[in-house]
Amino acid sequence: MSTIMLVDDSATILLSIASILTKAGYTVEKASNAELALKKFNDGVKVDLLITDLNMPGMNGIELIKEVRKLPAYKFMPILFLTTESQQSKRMEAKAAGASGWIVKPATADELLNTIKLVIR
Amino acid sequence: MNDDASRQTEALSEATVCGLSQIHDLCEVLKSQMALIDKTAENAVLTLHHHLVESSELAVLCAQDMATSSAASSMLVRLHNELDTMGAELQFQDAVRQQIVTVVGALDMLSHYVADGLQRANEAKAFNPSLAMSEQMEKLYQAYVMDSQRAAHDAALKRDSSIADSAGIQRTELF
Repeated sequence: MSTIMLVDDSATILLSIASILTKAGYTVEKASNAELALKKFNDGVKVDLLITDLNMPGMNGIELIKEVRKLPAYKFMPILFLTTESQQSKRMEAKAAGASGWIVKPATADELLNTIKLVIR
Repeated sequence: MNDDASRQTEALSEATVCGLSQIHDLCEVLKSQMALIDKTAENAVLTLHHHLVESSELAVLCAQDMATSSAASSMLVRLHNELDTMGAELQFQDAVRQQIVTVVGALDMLSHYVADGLQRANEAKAFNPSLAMSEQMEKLYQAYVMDSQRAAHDAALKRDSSIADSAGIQRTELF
């Protein structure tokens, strides 16, 4: 089964989303901030999908995916944003930075898992 | 200006400075209180999540034990699904946390605004902050991270809002 990197500064989100993903059979790599996630990517962690928050202290989600996309191993890895932000301009910014999709929080297990199935092939 | 008027103006100025100092202190207190609310809610949600996971696993075990009674087993499976749904609903705390962060940011802004105004008042003898409140309000608006915050801000100021109804929001989108 695939490994998903989950990046969020909220302990609640890390816990509840990781619960949903683990029950669905995914392996979850958690990071409580973008810098920590980027370090894991730089260390060559094996990940099939990145799910990241947008607004985080320090590096934000868009800055994170711009950095991740520079790494050859993750150039084509699907990336989903999971965020409370729903503004169209932010979505377009994420798309331009290399995101594959957008999910608005709070997400139901079905919304999350159905979207994941569409991007992990 | 006669002596009485001068004394009145001075007393008024002292009262204003005293009042503004207290507003500054109040901002600091409210920031601490909001941080406490945030921490309390997060702790409660984390504990609740732990119990939901335990209950959900227990329901699965019960369902396996009661496999011979299909009705009871089916109810336990439903209970398990309900508990999982409740677990996902705990994400509300993240939205609340971000709303609290915004309020703390606004209080911080107000606190600095007052402190800056007071400092400049000592020099110029007038409350004259370097940044206008309208600019601070615009900064606050730009810092919002969800449409519900922008809509609430617009509604509080009784101004037209371009924010779409949350019902019309596309919750998932693939690019």
